[in-house]
Amino acid sequence: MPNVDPDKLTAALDVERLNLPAKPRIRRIVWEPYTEWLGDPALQVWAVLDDKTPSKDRSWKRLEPIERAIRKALHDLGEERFPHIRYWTVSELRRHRNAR
Amino acid sequence: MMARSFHVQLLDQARHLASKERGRPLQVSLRRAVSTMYYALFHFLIDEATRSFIGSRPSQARLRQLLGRAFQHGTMSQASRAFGSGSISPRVSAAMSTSVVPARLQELANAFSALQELRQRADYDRSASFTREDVLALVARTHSMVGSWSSIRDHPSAKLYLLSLLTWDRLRDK
Repeated sequence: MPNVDPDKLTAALDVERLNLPAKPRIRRIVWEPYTEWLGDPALQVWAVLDDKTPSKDRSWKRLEPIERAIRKALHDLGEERFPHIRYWTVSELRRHRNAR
Repeated sequence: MMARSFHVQLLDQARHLASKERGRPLQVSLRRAVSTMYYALFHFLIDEATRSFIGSRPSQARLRQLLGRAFQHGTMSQASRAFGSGSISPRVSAAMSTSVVPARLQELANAFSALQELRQRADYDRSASFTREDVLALVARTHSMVGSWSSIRDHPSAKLYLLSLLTWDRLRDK
């Protein structure tokens, strides 16, 4: 099955469309195509947290509803690539991208 | 005093590695934490599977250990992807007498898949970077997944999942 249209995928992950909890605040969700160690196509997904997010709001209890929402959105879209979801702040993501 | 399970010790070790440095953590500590966390879940699932197949008596321990050596990372990954998506072939799901994969089982399977990929990056991708908060959240998540197993252990799909971890490459096209 061909990959989902990138624009549709981006739209599906719009934080305004997802029913996300108020905390922690997700500024935006970004994604990239990715090839896994097994050679399978996959997605890297970053749920970008506000820089002021306290550590207690990065617990799995807080993140789990967000993860469910992202997986559901991708599943409903028919996206078959496995999403590897990470929760990084704006600064952490910027550092990661600058290091590449 | 009963020794803690191997996977519990590994999870504790992962948390220790992620937390050990004051201030900014070393990437090497975070990478080892991710790898250790993966092996915690890996060994937990194999232990549950071998107990399901063989039994839990102490006299059966060596047989469980022998069977445990037959599990392969790739097969476990493929099985976990299938159960994580909730999409099992009709013939396979018919063996469960239900087509429903409980949400908790899907989450566990997805957690295993995600951790496996992270472990590969942690061990081999020199360009990857990890944050302490991310790794500690993953430790908490893995703890949560392991803790939730008791609520789904007896579900038919859970038993099939354990079987699939060993045999998915033979089952998936049936």
